Amino acid sequence: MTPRPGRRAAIVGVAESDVGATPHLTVLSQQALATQAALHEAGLAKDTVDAVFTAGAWSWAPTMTLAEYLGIQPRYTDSTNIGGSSFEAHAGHAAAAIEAGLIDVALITYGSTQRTSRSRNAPRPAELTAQFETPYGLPMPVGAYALAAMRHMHQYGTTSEDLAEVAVAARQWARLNPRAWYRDPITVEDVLASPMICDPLHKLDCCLVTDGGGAVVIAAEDRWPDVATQPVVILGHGETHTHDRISSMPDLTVTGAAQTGPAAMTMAGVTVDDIDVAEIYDSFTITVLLTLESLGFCKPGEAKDFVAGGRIAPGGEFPMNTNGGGLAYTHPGMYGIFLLIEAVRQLRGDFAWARQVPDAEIALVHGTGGMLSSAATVVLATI
Amino acid sequence: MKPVPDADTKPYWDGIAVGELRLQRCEACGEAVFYPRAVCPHCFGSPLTWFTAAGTGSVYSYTVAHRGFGDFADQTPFTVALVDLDEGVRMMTRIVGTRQVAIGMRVQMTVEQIAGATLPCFRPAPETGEAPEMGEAPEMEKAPEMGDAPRMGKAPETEETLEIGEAPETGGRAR
Repeated sequence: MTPRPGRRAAIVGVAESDVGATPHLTVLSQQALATQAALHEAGLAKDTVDAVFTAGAWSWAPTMTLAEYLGIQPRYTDSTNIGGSSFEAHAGHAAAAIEAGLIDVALITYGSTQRTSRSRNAPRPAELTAQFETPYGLPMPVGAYALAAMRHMHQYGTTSEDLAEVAVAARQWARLNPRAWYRDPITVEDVLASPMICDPLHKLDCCLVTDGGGAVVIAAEDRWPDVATQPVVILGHGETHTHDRISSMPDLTVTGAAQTGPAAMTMAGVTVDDIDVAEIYDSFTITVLLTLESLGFCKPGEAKDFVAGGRIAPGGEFPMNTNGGGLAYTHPGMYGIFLLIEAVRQLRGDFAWARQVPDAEIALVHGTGGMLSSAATVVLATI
Repeated sequence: MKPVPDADTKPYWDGIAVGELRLQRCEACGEAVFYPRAVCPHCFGSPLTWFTAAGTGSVYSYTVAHRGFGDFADQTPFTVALVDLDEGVRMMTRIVGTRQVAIGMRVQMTVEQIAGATLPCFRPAPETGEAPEMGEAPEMEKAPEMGDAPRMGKAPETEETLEIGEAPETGGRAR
């Protein structure tokens, strides 16, 4: 492996708030409670945190609102919002700042009460670049992903049954996660029989709409002797966005993962063959197929074969989305922080039962945001 | 939901009001540009000069929405597509006048009224005839670069064609 030049960064604490339906919590209390739990797990005091990262539409300046609520005055602040992959990007930014010697302990958080507050489909004015899409009434983001799915089907012969495999596997993993929203198994036929939302995506091709928050604590290697957990090192990271509006996506079948995956894996000194467990953003079933292809786990058009026959389900050759993912565990609008949380727990070997991927040493986490707009990859490893 | 025209986009919407699809072309590199903007996203040159597009293209992808929100809740099912215009740019639109949509299908612009907004939509191009079977549509070759894009007159009168309520500004005509 190629050693990075500066100080290494590792995730030393992770936690969720209550997830699902949380009428007893606010976006701020979710993040505060998750932060408290993550710092407690790491054995670090709040005052050690010198960098804050969060993203959300609940404040005009989310890190300012959050840090004030938590009682933190950071030396590094970053509210970058590129949708669901923001937190993978934040992890990369934190690792870079640690490597540069700017900070010692970074806090990444997320919170959302979108289910309880029913804020998901609030109309936004059709102005600036939105004036060329919003007036056509396509429900977003599902409509954008449906356009991509239709194109993938046309180019590669992918079918609704192929997409459904992803949802079926997610439910099988969710059965092993006591906190998952949906824990009952489903079949390919169930997915195809669920209501059509935007052709070809059915209801069960779509992620959940839940509440929930999370926190990730990242520490410089000088701090590792002080922490109570097994550090999970950030070996590599990459981020990009290819567009904002779906009509400006250069190719509906290739995501920014084609750039961020190779970038992160090259930085980490690993290849796709080294990945023991993958946490891949699953806003929709098509998101997973496109991402696997773009990351290079299989060739363009071959993701349908890659996921077929239970390969991504518990006991399969390619353990993926081991918490049940956004399709079955939880999906509070921007899901990316939960990908990091699950990957860290897998690498630490936190699970005593079937959910644990045996001997997992290297994990790949990939977030997708917006209308397939942003991509951010993080490669994590045990030390 | 009505689009909110601005200093970049007013000539575009003025064109739609008179049945013309106006795009920009970069004088520095010759590339057609959509949506309208101040600087070319390809070569970063300027100025960008308005011209009237042929209003023809082919379907790059589409979806039939079975859910709609707000103003669009009672319109389902409706077909939204990404159309590759023959000038080499892509835009979101609605496909009207048929339920038989396929990727690669040739389409032609028509101006429609959708939820109170006057919008460029597309219908099957006359020469297409029968729409091809879904999934078997041939890939359309990209149209060759057009030195001087043909001008379209007013959109043909049909029952679905917009009645122009607001008088267009003659000064906004494409050069």
